[in-house]
Amino acid sequence: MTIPGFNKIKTNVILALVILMFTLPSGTTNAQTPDNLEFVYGTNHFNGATYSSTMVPPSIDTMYLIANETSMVAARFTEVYYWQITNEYKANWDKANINVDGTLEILRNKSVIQNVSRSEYVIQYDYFDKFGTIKLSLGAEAIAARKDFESKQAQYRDDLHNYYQKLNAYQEEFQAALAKLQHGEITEDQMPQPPIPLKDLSIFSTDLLWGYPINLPPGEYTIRLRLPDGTIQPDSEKHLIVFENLQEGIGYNISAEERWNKPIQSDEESEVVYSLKSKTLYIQPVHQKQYNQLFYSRMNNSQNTTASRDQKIWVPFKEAKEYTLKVSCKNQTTQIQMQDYFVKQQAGSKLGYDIIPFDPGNMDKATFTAFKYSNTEDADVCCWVCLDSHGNEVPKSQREFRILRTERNQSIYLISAFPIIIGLGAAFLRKRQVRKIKVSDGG
Amino acid sequence: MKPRDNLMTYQSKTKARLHAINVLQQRNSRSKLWGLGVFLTMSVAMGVSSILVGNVIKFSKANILLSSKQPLLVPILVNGVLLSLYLALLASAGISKEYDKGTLETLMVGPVDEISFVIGNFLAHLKVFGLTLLAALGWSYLCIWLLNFSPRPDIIALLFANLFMASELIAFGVLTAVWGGKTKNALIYFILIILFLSGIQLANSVVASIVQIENAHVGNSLILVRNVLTTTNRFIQWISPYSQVRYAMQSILDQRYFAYLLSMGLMVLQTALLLIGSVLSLKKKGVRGIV
Repeated sequence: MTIPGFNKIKTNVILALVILMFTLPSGTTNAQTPDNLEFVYGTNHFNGATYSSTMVPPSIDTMYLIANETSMVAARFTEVYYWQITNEYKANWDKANINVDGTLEILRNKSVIQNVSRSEYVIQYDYFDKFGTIKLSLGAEAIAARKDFESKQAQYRDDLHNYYQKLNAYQEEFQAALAKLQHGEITEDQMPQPPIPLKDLSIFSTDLLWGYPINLPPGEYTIRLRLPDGTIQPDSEKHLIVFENLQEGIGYNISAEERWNKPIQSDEESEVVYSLKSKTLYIQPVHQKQYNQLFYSRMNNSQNTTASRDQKIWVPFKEAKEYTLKVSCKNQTTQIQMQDYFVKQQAGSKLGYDIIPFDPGNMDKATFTAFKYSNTEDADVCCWVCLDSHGNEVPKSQREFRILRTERNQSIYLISAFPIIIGLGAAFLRKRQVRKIKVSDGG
Repeated sequence: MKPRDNLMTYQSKTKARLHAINVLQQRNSRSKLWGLGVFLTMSVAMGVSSILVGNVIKFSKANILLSSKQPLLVPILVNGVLLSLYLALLASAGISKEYDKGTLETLMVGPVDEISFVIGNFLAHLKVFGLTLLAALGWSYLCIWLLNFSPRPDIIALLFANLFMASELIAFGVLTAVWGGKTKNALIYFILIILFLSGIQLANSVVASIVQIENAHVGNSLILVRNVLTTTNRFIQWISPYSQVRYAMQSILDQRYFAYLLSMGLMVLQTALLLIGSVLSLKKKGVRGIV
């Protein structure tokens, strides 16, 4: 049974729904309008070794920075969206990346201790020694540094152009000379020389950026952005934890020749390094700092939820190539120099490689740089330490090194049987004593 | 009564109590040492520890290299936990049996009071644990000599930490016996509480190792579980002897001597509180276990 007019109503409802569907914004994913921008902080912070960046969305209320180092905090408007793959908020910088001008107020115990003005900055480094050359320049220095980089870039472009012109000319001259040489008109000594190859421009520079430089001693602060009209930018108030490294020292990456790309790490002096007899080891020292895991991880990714506050993390920040290694075994002491090595794959289908000293004449690039130590001596307990250029021992670089006697492994299981043997003996003795008591009672 | 007489009465009372404690601890410890149980547990504990050491050697053989502060840390800890659990259970069962059989009533008629009974039993089991520690020390140094581990003095500190953990567990065993009254009740209380404490800690370690920083993301449902367990564990670690001993051991390896002493002090304090609780509970319940 159908109600009269029901079909007509149903058709109208469906029609209305279809119209509604097309007039509504196309789904929740694009619900934000171009004007719907959010305030975020973007950082270019010093991470102990170099500069990293992270975005701090409105949902995050705490920021972390390393103490007594200048880090840059930029205030921006952008489109913030939720990225399901990593369950994180992301910024759509292409859509909007608007710098917000104002004064960054730093508060401690609810009173303003610093007013930071916006400044131009650049970060520059040399590819060949990133950790040793990285530099943050601010204000006028930043403008000059960027200008200098641009002029070097222009110079490099010109030099490269000249080089290719010379190279083309050389190739033409070479062909002509080759023909003459074949006809015996010139000797090999008279052949043209190729132009000297141009050195790569190894300097990297960021664009001239805007940000608020922050350099604070360790502690807990609050930051907020005061706009030129005197109001506080909504969502700009954040808790700021400024932390320092817990300790500093020399760590080692140690690889056995048989497993050269699977090194173990030795972070602290209290760690003992164990190995097997007659093995060749490659020891790479690194300068490193220890930080609180939560602080360090959240500094590099403000939305990190996996780091733990009661854990610590060692962060290597520079290879320690400037040292020599002193190895002391029994009464013998040797000093090992650091050397470049090249890992040469063996020909054929069978897997294999040889680690040979790097020869710049025949090889492109060294695979790694390390101290090579072969424990072929009789001593099963040694000690190594890094020495600086004056021959002084580098603090926190000492390690005890021991050869494991793995062949005696089975013996330790035998020791476990001792207590039960003693127990059985005790039980037997007791039984005998009890029996004696019974005999005397009977007598 | 004159003050001098009071003092003499007090001195003779203390002398009698000390004598009773001494007799009780000697009687109980001797009976444990004549039995096979302690030796069997020692062998089992050493066997388990040897397997753990063997595993370290196996790992080192496969990887050629090993970097460790103390490869005997976990074996020593496991050895201590197994033996102290056994002795704490023995203490609990032994005292509650005195209730069950009514021998406690007989004892209390004589020169034994609540304090001497609790302390005597506690010291008897601690003495046995002390002897097993000497065996563990011998085992450790044999391992060091056989396998060429580093003979660091921290081994002594690790074993010493075990002694404090055992004292807390034994005191807890005594308390559950006095509190539970009957053997069945005492053992159920003991096992349930220990399982709860160790279960939370074990679950926390397992989940924490699953949720590693490198491969975890915020959508991982285990992160919430880990955070709940970590928060719970943060409270439990103040009362759990396992946490305290682990913390003490880690502190000594990290050369944080104050933290080591702090953990030891905390274990001593908790042991004292448990023993006081046992005495008060025994006084309140009476020798027949009726409140």
